[in-house]
Amino acid sequence: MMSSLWKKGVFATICVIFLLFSYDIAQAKEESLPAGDILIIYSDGAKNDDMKSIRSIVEYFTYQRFQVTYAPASKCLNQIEKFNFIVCYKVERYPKELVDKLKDREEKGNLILREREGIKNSTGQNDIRLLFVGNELLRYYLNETGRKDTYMDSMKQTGKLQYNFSDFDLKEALVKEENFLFLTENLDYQVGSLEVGGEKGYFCAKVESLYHIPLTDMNNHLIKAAFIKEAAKWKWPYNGEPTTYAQYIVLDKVYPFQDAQKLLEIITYLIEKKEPFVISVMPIFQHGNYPAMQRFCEVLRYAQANGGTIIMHSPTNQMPDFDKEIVNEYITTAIRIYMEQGVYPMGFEVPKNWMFNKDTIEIMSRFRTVLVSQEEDALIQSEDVTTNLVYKDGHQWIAPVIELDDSGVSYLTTNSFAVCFDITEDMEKIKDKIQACISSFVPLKSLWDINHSFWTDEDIMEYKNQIIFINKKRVEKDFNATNYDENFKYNRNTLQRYSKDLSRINKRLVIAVAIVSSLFLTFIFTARHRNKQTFFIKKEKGKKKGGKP
Amino acid sequence: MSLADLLSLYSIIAIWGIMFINIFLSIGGIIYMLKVNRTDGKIPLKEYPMVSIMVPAHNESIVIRRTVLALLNFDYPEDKYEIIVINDNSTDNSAEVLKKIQENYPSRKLIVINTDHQVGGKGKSNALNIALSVAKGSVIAIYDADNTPAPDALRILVENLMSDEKLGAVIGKFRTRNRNASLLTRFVNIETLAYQCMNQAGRYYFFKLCTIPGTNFVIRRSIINQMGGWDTKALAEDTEISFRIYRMGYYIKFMPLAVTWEQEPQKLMQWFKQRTRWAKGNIYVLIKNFKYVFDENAGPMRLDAFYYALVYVLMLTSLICSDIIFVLGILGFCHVTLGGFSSLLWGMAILLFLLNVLLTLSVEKNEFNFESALLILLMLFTYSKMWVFVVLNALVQSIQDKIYHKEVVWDKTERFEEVDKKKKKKKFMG
Repeated sequence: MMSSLWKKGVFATICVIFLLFSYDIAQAKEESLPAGDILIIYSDGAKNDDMKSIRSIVEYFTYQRFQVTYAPASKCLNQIEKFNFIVCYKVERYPKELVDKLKDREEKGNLILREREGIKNSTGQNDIRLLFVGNELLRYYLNETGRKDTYMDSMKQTGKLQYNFSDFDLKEALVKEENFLFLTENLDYQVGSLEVGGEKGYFCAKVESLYHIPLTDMNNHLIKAAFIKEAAKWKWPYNGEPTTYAQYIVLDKVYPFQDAQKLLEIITYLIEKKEPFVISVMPIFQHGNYPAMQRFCEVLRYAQANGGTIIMHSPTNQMPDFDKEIVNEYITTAIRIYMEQGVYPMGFEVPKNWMFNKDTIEIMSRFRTVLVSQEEDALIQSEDVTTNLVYKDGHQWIAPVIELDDSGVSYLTTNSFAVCFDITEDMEKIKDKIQACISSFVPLKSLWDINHSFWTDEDIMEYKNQIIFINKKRVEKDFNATNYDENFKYNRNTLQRYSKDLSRINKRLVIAVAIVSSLFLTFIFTARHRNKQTFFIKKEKGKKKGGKP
Repeated sequence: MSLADLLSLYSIIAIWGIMFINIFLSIGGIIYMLKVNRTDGKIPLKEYPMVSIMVPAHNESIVIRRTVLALLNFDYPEDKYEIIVINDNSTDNSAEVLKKIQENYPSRKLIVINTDHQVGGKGKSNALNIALSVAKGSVIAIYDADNTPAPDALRILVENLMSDEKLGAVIGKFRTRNRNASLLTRFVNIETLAYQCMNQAGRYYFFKLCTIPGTNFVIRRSIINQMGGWDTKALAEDTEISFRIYRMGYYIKFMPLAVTWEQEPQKLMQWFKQRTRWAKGNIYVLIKNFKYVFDENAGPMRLDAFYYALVYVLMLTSLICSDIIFVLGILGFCHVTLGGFSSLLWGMAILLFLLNVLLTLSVEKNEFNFESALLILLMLFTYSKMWVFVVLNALVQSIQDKIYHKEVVWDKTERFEEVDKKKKKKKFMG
């Protein structure tokens, strides 16, 4: 009897401890949600595709130097009041309390707006704004807050989106959504047009503190670009338009063994056009003094002295178990090789998912200027985090351009964009693309106009006030022609030397084979001639010798 | 540089290196052959020595009659040679066949030694040692049981042997009697002429270096006595004895005008077994004599030991590497990125191989023709490839023999009944 009671007591104690522990963990998790400039709320149990879209939004907010906090609805329920900018992205599964929390924020936001109404020079710094991206949550929210008749529903699934990026650049695309909702009453602001089954709506609209974008598909370039543009305006805390950023012409992923002549041709064209440009070179880890590398670096030095800036691409990752120490060693070696040739990289180019991994973020932290490419490093896993960790490093970002047409130029000025060029492409195509950049309403800028810095295991580079300092010593980026060593010694090991010489030996071998073949043929003819003679002579003499018995 | 590159580089250097050695030997060989073919090979003697012709035979009833009759037909003073047939533990009717010949030629010195499993059946060397114990000649001639030597073969060999005191042995040439029996025997015929005849001629021409081929050769009795008979452990007793002759300060001469015709295996399995035995013998000789490569007093046999090492180590490994890389390359598992590595190299190697073999055939009667050229190309991609498997098999067997301490026994090549073309024709006409 006593034993049974004892067991029940122990079991109950364990349950209580477990519950308390779970509660503590849950509390701790909620409390651990970092504070940021913007909170992005998404569905509980969001799908992978939705998470990709969320990371894409976080990525572009990061380029605009915002600290972003993102979490599923149930996790950020008690955090909402800490944030002034709240984005509800495609929230479809959420706790009911979320509506009340959002309502509190909206009402408070509306109150602030009303209070500063009529006040001149109000910056709006304390404004509270709610942006609903998607329609499910907004529909429920409006219904629950007694605003059933302030919106219009459409159960159609496709529509035509039109959006202006400048006075002359109207872009349009077909878009898809489960269903559509448009705010209809008391709109303070609306932009873009979204035509769904004869009904005309907007891309983005606003009623006091509440903003709405009915489209969620961030894989659609036009939606993504328009979203970034609107979001930039939405979270701009001051009066007037957000700051305008430039675009950069980037000759991307240029390998030292590529055609230096072609590279020179493109550079010369850009210099003639007096346009700034960037060359992103691939890292090289050995043989930096080989003549081919010297020729390549001579072209880079020429570019560097004539308005071109060099940045270095990250090493191609082939490590399933990423080792940041090794990568740092590679980067150190590669940068040292370039600098020994008088080429000074100002920034670093990385695949876009390097922004979501702690190891790669640590590597990137050594560079002030970071260009992000469209490619992804397949061997790098994104961290399961709730904030853009990379924000703390305060990088100068250059984002990959969102291409809206064949010209490939940027239509956004929300942050810096890179218009990338493949130098192996046809020269005429490259020229057309350069011309499109020049004609674009987004200005072109030189990386020489901003400060840069980086450090490696061995070197520190700082570029400020138009002067380059390497390990605190000033270096010049003037162009000096290379004096090539006619008899360059490759110092190859025996096997490499044999391999290299094999081509040369082939020629000698052909000659040797020709001589041997001629000699053999001569012997064959002589032997045949002798055989015939011997045969006839012996036949005449009637002799037999060594014949088959 | 990848492993495939490294192995390819090794194969290219090894194969081309060995090929140039063979080209060099072929050039010496053809010069010597042309020179010898201008003579009849005979150096008449005032007095001919007594010769004991020894024929080891184990279950050779199919071919032994023809062999003994050919030996009895030698153009050599009848009273100056004896024929000793060692019918070694045969289970067929060899004894009866030989007895009949003895009855038919009562005046000739034909000795038949029939051994049982107690004394005999322990290999060719053992059989030759038994024959040596009854031999009376100061010169010993050896013929295999499937040979039909030309009538003047013995005279040429003996006359050449007696012409120089430093000569320990003289070897003749052997040809394929059944070369038209199958595709395999055609290949064997070409191989015999190219790599055994021309190679011997070249080595003799440049270095006075030869290897006894196991049949159709004469050797001084005194040398055999001095070396204590044949090494019964050796499978390739001929190669083994050659090394011993050179170590004793004698040399061996190649005389291609002394011809014998022998029966070669007609079936692949027999061929494989025979070649495995040869390769095992050569591996034994190589292991036993490789130390002489570094012995300054070993004379020209140093070159031979070195040549064997090249063939059985360098050639074997390089062929294995290149074949593996070739197969893996076709299957897409590896790719050679070596600079200068091209099909031109292989093309030139094939051309040289073709010309080298054609050169050998050019000195022979009825061998140099278009059919032979096609056969050579076919041989390169089929027959030559089998050599690798032969040597690998021999290596495995040698290791097994060493581990299990196996005794040397007769590993006899199966014989075939040959149909005489003339008889066949008569039968048809009749």
